Amino acid sequence: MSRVKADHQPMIYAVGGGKGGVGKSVIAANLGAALALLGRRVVLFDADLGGANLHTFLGMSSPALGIGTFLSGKVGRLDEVAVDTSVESLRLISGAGAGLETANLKYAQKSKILRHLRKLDADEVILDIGAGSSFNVLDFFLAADQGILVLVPEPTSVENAYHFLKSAFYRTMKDTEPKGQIRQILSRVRGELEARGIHSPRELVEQISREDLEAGMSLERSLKAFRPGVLINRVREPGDRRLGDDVSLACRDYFGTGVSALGSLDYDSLVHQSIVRRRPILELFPGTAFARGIMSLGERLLRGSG
Amino acid sequence: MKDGQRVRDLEWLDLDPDAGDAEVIAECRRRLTLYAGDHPAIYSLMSEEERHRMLARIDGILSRLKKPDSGPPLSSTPVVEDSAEGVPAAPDSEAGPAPDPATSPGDFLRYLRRSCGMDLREISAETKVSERQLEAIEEEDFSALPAPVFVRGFIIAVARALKVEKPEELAGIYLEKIAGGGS
Repeated sequence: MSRVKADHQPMIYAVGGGKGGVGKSVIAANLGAALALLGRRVVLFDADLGGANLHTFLGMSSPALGIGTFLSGKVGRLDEVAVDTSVESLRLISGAGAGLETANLKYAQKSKILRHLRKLDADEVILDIGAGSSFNVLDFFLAADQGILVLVPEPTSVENAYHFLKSAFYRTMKDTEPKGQIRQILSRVRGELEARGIHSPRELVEQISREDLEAGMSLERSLKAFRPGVLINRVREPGDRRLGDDVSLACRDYFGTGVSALGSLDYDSLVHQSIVRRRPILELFPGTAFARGIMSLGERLLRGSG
Repeated sequence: MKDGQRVRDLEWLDLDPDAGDAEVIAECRRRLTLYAGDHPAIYSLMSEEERHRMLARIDGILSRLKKPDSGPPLSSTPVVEDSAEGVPAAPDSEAGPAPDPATSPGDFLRYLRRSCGMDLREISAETKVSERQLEAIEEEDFSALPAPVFVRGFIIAVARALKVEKPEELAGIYLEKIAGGGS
């Protein structure tokens, strides 16, 4: 990933992973705190509409201002609904109180938010996109400069993560220009995959390139930008640490595009305590394994070596 | 034509165009482990058929490695006699004459390993084939081994680690023996 951004636009990260309960929000909140501690101006954006509770991880009651305020048109800029947190240089745009109707964003609303995220007066923006693989979730993930896919070493989590990746991969393909042409080839080729001996997405892209070189090259360009990172959370066995590398290798073979391994975070019972006490773990137990892991993840992301 | 295939193989493995055989083998081995069976990292990613295709692809890449210059097999030790099928016989050692690879490929591999002074753990570390499976290979305990397509990859990996000159040939002999319902 490149950290060189035009016009001091913020770097945007999206924390997702398909499955609920794998630690996305606690990671997003603490990664925000970590990047702020590392001297960056950070905005956390709670895009888990309908289930927003990042404020709780930061010990705040539901802020009066948030995404709902922005979408209602009462303010013109997202900066105006970013509220200060207990961590210096860390602000929060809450998804709470956005109204039940915002749980299902309309296309125009989503585009407006994505456009304005780039205009935030910040160095780093972290989106907590919530669980699932719905279009809204995928679009926030794909709009980010760096997607962070959180997995725990359990088959259910691996399964949801792969479902998420496949959905994101096909959505990227379908949104590649020339859209009409690519979608046409896709629908034609998909019907006869078996007969042609096409099985993996990688072979699908190769087949499209054979049929239409230009469309194929355009696809390869846009898929090259599809480089989410995989972060393994709640590691208990040393062997689990390798899961990220193995997933990364399998994705490379299967999709033909890179999924980078972002490392792992150890299981740490103090995480639970920090959630119960509604404070970032970095504030309560800065020396603990999870806190050190998050700090080192933040450092790696800032170096752009994620 | 052959060069084009080599370029495609390297590209598929995400290796540099000037990568050597050792790197190709290392990359293939990582994948043989990953796609061998119930690996947690590929759960639900691909169908069984796709997984077998991955293995077949890796197998193809390994079998295309021509190894005339991979160093003379066990050149520093005296070679007893070339056996049939081009598989080199093992060097002399305290273990007595080398078993015939054509009839006892498992014994042959064990003999080679011992004469190289390696234990199962070392071979396992190098090939990523588990010690239990290595033992089953040497014992020719076919019931303890996975499907032949994996066994082929295992035998090739082990044979390469032991510097057998034509690992594919030995793998072929081994698979024939499995097909013949040895044990």
